[in-house]
Amino acid sequence: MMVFYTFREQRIFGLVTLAAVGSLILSLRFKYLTWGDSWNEYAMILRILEYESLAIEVYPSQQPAMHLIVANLAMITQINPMSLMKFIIPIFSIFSIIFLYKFVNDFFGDKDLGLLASLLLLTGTPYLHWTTQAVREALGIPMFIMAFYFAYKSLKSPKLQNIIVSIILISGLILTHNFSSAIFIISWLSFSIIHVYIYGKTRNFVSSLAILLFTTIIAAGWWSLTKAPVSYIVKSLEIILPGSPLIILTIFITIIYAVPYFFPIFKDVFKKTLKEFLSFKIIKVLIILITISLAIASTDLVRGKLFLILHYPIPMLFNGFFMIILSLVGLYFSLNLRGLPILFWIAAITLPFILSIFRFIPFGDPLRFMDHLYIPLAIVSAVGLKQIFMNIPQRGLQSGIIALFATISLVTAFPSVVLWGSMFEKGHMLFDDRGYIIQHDTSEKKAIDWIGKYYVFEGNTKPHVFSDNYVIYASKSINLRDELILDNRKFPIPANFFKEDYTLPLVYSNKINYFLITERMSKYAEFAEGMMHERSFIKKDQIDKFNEHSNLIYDDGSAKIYYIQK
Amino acid sequence: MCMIMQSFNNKSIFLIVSIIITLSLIVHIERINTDDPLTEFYVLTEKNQAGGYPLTISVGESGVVTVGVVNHEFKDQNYILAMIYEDKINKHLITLKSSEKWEKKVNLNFGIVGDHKVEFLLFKGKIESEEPYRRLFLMFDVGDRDE
Repeated sequence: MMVFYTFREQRIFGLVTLAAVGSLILSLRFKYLTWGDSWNEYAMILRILEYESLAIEVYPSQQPAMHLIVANLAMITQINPMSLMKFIIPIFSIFSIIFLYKFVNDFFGDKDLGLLASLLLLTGTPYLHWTTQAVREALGIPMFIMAFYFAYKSLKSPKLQNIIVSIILISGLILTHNFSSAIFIISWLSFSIIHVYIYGKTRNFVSSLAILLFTTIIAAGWWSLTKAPVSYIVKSLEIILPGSPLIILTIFITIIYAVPYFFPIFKDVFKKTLKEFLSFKIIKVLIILITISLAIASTDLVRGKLFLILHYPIPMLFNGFFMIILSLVGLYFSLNLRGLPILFWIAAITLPFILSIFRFIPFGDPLRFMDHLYIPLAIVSAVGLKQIFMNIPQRGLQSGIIALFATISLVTAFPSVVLWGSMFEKGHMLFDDRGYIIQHDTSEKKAIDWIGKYYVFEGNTKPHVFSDNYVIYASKSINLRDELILDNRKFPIPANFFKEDYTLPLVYSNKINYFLITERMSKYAEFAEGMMHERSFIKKDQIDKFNEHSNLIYDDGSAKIYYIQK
Repeated sequence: MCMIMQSFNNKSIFLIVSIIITLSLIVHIERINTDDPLTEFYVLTEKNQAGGYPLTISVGESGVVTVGVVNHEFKDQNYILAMIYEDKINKHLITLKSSEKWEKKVNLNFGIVGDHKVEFLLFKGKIESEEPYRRLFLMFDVGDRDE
């Protein structure tokens, strides 16, 4: 509200302040890293510090930008890398907000629209989820937006400096986060092609194609070199286009980009036809109806009605629900030549998102598309919000609405334990089982560190550490030498542990087996099956079996380590 | 008062508020960086390792383990350690300063063949009749000397 109303003349200053405070919510609230992914990043940073190498054998992530930043800072300042990454990485997300504002301002020539889009992105639930954690996404999302902004600048005005800056940022993006760079390629392809066809001049065609080809070739090369999981895209292309798929695609895309330049008449006809096509109200209604259907499918996914088993509370969907409403209004007013590049950008991310929802393409967690989808969605929603505000002349009321929307979005984006301080009872409308796993307590950390300090590795068989997903994530930092097998599959029954009927054959030969069980697991435990199955918990009879058939070698209150040796 | 207020522009107010927020955040970070109070209670082998415990031994043979207590309660703390096996109870009074660690090697001898559960109970304070504060156990398979 302060930003929108009082500080209209210092928009960027206000946005930076809001973005900085927003990004540090979890870092300020919890002692350790949150969720699971940030622990993986922490382990990668420790591996770089331990081995002083980026070789794939010791550093499997192979997305080194964030890890190198923190590792180098830790070496220079001698500050614990966990504290550094907790407070430094989320802060980078400030750049997303600044550059989205600049992009919208440049694209639409409207500062108010830029401000609204930035505020909507800043309070978006998926955006907040990722940028408040010390993970690659918190760096990847701002890099994505900055790279997109400078790529757009090169498209509009292909000065060498713009192209160089965008190439540097794209390279940084590729080194930061594979998924963000893949999304960048499809986003830029769709955005720039339609831009070239609508506003195309020779220079547009050359610079946008150069950026696309540079990104695709460098990213594909990097993914293949580092054996990144995302390189399956390149492998899939090899099946569809046998021979040299990248060369065939390059020729094909170059032809598409070059058509408006070599055949201006085609461009004029295309533009005219498109304009007439969009002038039909029935077309607009049809597109809006399709969008509503897709929005329902996405909502069903988030609510766990499709194949993912999710337990988000209804209030958490507040932001998504209003963003859908605003984006539908915005869509109606963006279905014109001006708004089309943004809509194509949305479509480029929505297509794989929807295909992965219905499992036409293999992608474990389709929700991962949401954080990038929210970027163009915030722009279209801002268009919708601005149209609504045209009917509300009082600026104070406009500010009040934004403040209310932002506050509710911020509060409902996280489990109640973050801002409320405690969890609601099961069955309560605000009960959110993510509250169990967003934080890792001292007791769990001490137990993990204890295993790290005292485990026995004799070189023959590696000791096994069994626990649930979140403890195993946090345990990666004690396994820098790969001397442990960290196992997040379901707990075996201790009595059957070495018997033939046991379903996990990997443990047969193991001499030493640790089972780290925390108090939290009696309420919520998540094993390797992840979002495909109902969440489970460690039942009392399972604990009884451990008490009967194993040894209890560590107890710090809420974390216990059971032990079985052959 | 009004003149003073007028002399502040939006930027100055924002700056003052930012400084107050920053100072509060520093205090808050300092507070959250404090661990939750707890006591670690553990059992290791004679060589201070968490693996290769002498769980299979013979009657009369000594099994040595190390029992450890670390006080992270942020205050001096009295503990009573009780070891229970073969209907015997051995007690130790332990006083630890904050962050202090106590470790002791314990000899375990069994006179009866069979499965034995050795319990290590840690009580906080002086009253040992209440529920133990921490509890550990090892399962021993005690065989005949000739086996």
